[in-house]
Amino acid sequence: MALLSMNNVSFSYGGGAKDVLRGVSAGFEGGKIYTISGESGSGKTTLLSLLAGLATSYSGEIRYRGIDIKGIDSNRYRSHEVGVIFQSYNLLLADTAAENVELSVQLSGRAGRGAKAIAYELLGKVGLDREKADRKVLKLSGGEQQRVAIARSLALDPNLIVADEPTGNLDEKNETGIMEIFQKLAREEGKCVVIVTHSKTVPEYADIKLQLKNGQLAAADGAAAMQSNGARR
Amino acid sequence: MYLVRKALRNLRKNKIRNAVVFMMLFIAILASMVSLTLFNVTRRIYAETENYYAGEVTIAYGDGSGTAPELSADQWRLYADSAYLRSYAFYKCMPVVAVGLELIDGEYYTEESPGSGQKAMSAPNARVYALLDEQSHDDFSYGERTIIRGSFPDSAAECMLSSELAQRNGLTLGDTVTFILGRDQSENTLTISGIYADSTVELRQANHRSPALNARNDIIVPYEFLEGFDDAMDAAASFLLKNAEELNDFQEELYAKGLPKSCVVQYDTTRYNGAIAEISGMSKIVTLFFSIIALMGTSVVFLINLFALRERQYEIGVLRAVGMPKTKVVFLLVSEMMVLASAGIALAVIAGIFLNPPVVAYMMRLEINRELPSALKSAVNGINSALSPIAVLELIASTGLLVLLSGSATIASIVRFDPTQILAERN
Repeated sequence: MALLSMNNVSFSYGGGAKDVLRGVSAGFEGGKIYTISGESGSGKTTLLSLLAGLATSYSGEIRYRGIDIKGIDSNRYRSHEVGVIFQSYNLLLADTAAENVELSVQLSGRAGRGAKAIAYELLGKVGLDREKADRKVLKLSGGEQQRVAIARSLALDPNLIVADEPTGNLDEKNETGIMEIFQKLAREEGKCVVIVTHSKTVPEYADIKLQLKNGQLAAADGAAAMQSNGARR
Repeated sequence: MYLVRKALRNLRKNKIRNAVVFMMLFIAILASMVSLTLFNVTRRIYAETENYYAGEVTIAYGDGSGTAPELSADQWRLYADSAYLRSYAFYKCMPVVAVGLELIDGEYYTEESPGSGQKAMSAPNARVYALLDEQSHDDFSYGERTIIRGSFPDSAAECMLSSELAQRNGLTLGDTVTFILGRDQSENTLTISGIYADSTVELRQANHRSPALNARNDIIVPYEFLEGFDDAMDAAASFLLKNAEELNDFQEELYAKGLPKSCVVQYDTTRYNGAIAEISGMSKIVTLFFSIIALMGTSVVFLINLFALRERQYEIGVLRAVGMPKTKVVFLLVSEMMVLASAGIALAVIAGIFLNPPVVAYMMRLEINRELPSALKSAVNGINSALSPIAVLELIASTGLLVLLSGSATIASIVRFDPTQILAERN
């Protein structure tokens, strides 16, 4: 059974004035990386917001572990089940890297053995040492900030990670580093990673490549998304 | 606990913004404290005035005529000996012609001539005050007149003089004073039993000098000396209750001591209403001032919140996006404001320790400068000018409420936004 599934999901802006998603159906499984590509304005970020529970005014169904996410408390869903990574990182700028991660650890309720210690451990996992962990995020490079954002998303030990253009602001070297982290998370920890991207290289890391076009989600090779489950790498 | 720690950390991280917010809050709290002090002092003065005028009671026939029964000095002494009383006033005053005394302001004395064919009669040049005892006149009971030598007269053959008059005439204890009572032209010679220091207002009529109107020429005699004289130029026969609400209890005590049931104990409603009307003007102004300051304080804190939180929309968006519930976001932001408000209160209380006494003193001066009975003046003077713990608690409660109300309203208007919308606006 898919970890997350979309069933006939439609979404429009301006009270139906602009249809962004039209009856999208798709399934996302653990241990795989999914990429969703599409032109600017095609609704990729909107789709991701729906998966992350950040927007709820859609029709159709989105089920997490078989439960309609509209029936799950949205704060709990975001703080316990899904890790969200934003293109512009969306970190607390006045805080250090460790403090940003610690916040999510606290919200996830995993603070039992010391939220700060978990934060350092997670930052270490994405390649940031103690010295960088104690720096304010504004004093970190773009690639490092994105690693902090990934570490923060892992704070709740989610099964599902959704990332919006995670390498959009990064150079090639940093892109490779970030994608390797995602690969590790999927392969070694069995997490389901859904990445929205307009990059040409990021889909090469994906197990399943999806394309959003005219409000419809389809496998990049033309097959229906729901049936797509073949690994590319 | 984590949120409180985060709130404290946030305060350290945005020093300039928080310093500005703190200063604005401090000014609002200080203004609230001053207005709260004014409000409390006025309330106390109002209560003292109310208690005084409702507590200044007399005995009258209960037929509504307001006529007072004739009470002997002994009866009065018996009634005045009560735990319900703060003080009492019982005296009579008659004009006299002092004989052979060099009076103060004597040079302004003009002897009246009643016309031909009648017996020549001198105009009064002094006053005799007949007191029940040393406590039966405000001037003595509130310390404006103090016996410095000798004692209060024991019998109707003794009297007391002011130290100025005694000194001017070279008189001392045991010497005699002679005066003629204006009504029956009887000559009385009394022995001086006491000399008192007098700090009352010397001239009974401002800018008008006359020995009869100079308080230093007053001759104090025991009440028995004028008992039976019912045409006194000034007289008092009233009790001042400690607590105006105990009027009925005091009346019952007097009945038990023999006061006829046809008499009642009552206060002067006209005098009471007049005094209350006078003080309520000041009370209304202070209440209005207090309300305006409270409204302005709330508006200032509301605007501070609005500006500070508008700037923090992005932060709120991030917190919401990572799953922090709205209640926790509000708790975090209100905690920050509360920490600043607590520091503001602490500083305002320290400032209040120094500011409060002059503010209270100013208000009391305004009240005392009016013509007030000595007992009321003394009660108003007794109002504590220090910042009371209750005032501090009121300040804490009102500031907390102010921060919660204005802070929550502002924050609520922000957290209702969708986090994606907040972040999208920023990005």
